[in-house]
Amino acid sequence: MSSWVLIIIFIIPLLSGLLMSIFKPKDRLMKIISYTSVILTSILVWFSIFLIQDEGFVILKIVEKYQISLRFDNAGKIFAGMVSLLWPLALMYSYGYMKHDERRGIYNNFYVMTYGVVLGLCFSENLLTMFIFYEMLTFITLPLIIHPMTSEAKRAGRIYLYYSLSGSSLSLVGMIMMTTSLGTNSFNLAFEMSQSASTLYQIGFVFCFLGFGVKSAIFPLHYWLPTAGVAPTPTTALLHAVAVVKAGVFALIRITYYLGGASLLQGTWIQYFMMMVASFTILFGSIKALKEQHLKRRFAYSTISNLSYIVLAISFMSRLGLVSAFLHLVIHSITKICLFFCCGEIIENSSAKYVYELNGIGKKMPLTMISFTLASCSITGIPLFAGFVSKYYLIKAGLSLANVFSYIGVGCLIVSALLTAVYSLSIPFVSFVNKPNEKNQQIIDKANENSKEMLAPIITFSLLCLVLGVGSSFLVSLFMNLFM
Amino acid sequence: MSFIINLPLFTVILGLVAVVLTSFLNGKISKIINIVVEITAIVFGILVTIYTSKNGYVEYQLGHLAAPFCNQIRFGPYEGVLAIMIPLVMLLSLLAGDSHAKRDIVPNKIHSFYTLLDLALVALIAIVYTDDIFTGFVFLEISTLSSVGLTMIKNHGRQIAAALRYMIINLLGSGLFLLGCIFIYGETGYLSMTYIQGKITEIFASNQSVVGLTIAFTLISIGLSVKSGLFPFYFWMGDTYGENTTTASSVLSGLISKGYIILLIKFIYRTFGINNVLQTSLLDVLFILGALGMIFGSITAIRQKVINKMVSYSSAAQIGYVFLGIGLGEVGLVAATFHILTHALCKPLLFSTSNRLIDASGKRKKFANLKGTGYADKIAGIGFTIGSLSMVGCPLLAGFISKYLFVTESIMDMSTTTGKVKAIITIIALVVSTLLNTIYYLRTVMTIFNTNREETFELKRNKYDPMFVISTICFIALIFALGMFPSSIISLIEQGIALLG
Repeated sequence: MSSWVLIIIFIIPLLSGLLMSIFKPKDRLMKIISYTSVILTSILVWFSIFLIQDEGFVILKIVEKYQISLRFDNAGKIFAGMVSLLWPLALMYSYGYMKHDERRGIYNNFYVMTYGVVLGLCFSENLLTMFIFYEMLTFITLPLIIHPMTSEAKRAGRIYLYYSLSGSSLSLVGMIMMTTSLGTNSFNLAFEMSQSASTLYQIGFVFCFLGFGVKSAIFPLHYWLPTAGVAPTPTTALLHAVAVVKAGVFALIRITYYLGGASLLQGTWIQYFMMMVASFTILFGSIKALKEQHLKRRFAYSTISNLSYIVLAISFMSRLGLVSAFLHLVIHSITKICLFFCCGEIIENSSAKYVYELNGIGKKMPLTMISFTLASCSITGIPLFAGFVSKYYLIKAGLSLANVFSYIGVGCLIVSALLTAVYSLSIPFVSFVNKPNEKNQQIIDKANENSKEMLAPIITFSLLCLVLGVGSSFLVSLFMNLFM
Repeated sequence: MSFIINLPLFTVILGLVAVVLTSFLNGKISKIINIVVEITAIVFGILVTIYTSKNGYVEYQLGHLAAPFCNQIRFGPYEGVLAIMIPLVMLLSLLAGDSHAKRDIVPNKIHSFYTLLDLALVALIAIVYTDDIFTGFVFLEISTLSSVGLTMIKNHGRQIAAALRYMIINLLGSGLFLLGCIFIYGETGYLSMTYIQGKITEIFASNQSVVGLTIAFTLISIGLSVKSGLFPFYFWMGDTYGENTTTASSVLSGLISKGYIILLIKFIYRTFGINNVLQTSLLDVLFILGALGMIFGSITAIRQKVINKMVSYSSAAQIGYVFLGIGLGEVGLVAATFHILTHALCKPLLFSTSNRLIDASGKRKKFANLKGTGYADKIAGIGFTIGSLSMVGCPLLAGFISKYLFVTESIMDMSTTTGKVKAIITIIALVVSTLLNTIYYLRTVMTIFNTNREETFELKRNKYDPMFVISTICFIALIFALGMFPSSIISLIEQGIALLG
């Protein structure tokens, strides 16, 4: 199969979403179209993972050095493969969650369209193409955030837009600078580079790092992420734990490892800067998560901290760093989407929003809370669970670097793991061990888990956390083979 | 095909005939004449560009004597590209603002509106083609006259005050320019650009005092930058562009202010000679002012509460970009010229669409009242979005290419300290202004597509206006074309610049 098929793949969800928003079909038809297009796309993605050769396909050549082109390389295959597994299940969950919402049609269309944009981002052959999809992602997810149309949601949308657009204007200039310095902006995995990084390249890289760092929620640029928690839970789960934030991290992987090569920046102040920022964000996110009582915001802060695990892994700038970055990218996505889905189910079916309202909810929602426990174990990094694997390789990569900053990073990682245990495992603890008190009795009475559409993805993902943990050697050896 | 070398002169004469005709014919016929003249000028421009890109530049004598005694025009691909752009943008902005012109201008004055447009066209084309500084001055004054006329064509209190202010600023600029020309004539004894350049190079080479020439450079640069609205002389833009009828503001900000810049480029490269200019610090001053303009223009734009004043003040930032490019020297001229084209296409689009959006909210101009207008007039909404994205520098649109050119060209000369400092300033100014641009343009786009209205008044659905739709589609197509296939235009500009000196 040649690479032009990629165009068809990412156009399917975009087009079906667009057509649905023009023709506004009835609920039933809309459901059929959405499922068909999303599942069809996922199947095509998996076919092309195995069949498509790693070769570029130029759509448009703008000027010398700048072209729009597609290519499906290993990094893209990992991200696309993960996203294509999550999206159909997330769509199912979203139907269960949004059942009673009046404006679910518009929501559904954008939810489907975002899939196409994220896939386009995976297929990008060079920085320019990726930048275009990255911008589209910003705009296409905006309606999903402001969907509740409360003043709070609109504020969140505004903040998201300002942060993202400031970031993209930085990365636009950074992109041009890096391209000019390197003479190309195609992605190629390279470790041994003979040339040294010019000042222009370094400054351009810092601009890009800060620009793409907005979506990766590194410390001073993270504020939009907890604020965007007002969005419906399927959005928070899929976009703010997987698609959007991981697109930011993915972009960072691309500019660090695939543009000038990681060795170009190794040992420079930029590497130490990245490590410091990431280490600080890891601690900051975990501490904030611990303090936060609001359920979704707690996990938003947890996402901030976990994204910086990946940024830290990226900043190691070694092969092992790249492998552990991808490992954590995949594993954290699955774990966090499961956690958020559980939170969403709790919010939707019991109207509890805060941790202290969950006393004794475990008896009413046993399956949800068991899944929650599994996912919490995974995010904490208990052995036999998926999270352990990625953290193990992260620490290994950090220690093999033998550098003061990487030791600090590993230290932050371990402290953060302890904090994670407290803030995530405390929730199943209170829900199973504590008895309901008079304050939350009403909430507990209301609680139920009747919605199968919501329960099925939750159970699938929580089992996946366990399976990936037990059978981790497969995933690890796969990634090792790809990048070593 | 040596006939083609007559076409530039024909364009000017044709325009002058149209001026005379439209001054006494009625509005409808005047409009048709105007459109015909513009289409002819586009065709002539294309022919000239093709001819000169194959055969190099042409020196065309007016009269029987050779250059220093008689007037001469000189043109190459550079002039050709600009001579296509000017009538093209004028035609499209005429179509876009046609319904507004009918509404805003008193019926018995509408023919003089077209007279003024013709006059502006003639003046701009003559400025592009001329090789004589005094001819340049004459047409500069003509364009000043027509632009003042266009400013007050709405004949409305605030507009007259704006026109008065604009006229004073412009005449100040013209006066300085004329003084500069006198200095040049005094020092060199010529009026023809080619000969002046020869003489100036001689003076610079021969250790004579260059005070007079430096004064001339300074006066001319100040005069032209005041007229085009470089920082800190941009304060008149808000009323002049913002309160006017659509076509007038489009032409004023998209073309006429660019005409002065084109004349300045011709002075730097044709009259003074770039190597002589580089011995003074003129370009550095222009560079700094350009960088400041980029930032302060954007800051002024951000503070506006009215949509078309925001669009007007953003011109100040864009003029800053162009001057920054000029200040980078020969390497930056491609970027500056490309940005002239980009801005000439985007600004009229933004003006025409924003005025339609204002119509949709019942002539309410404040941002708060514009919520949801993007749905009431979808074409205008889309047009405004595309124009904004291009201004911001979104890839695939023209604005991206000019930003890319600015960065690449600013770092081309890194051997000297000045080059390094300029590269750093360029990049800082670009980042800051891109950031600010992004904020105020996309904030507006968000507002016009905001469905959640709390206002008491109803949005009006604009009447379907085919002219507006056609011109908007053309503008969008051209912006995309420049953004997706810029290489031929860039190579034409490069070729033209090589032939300029």
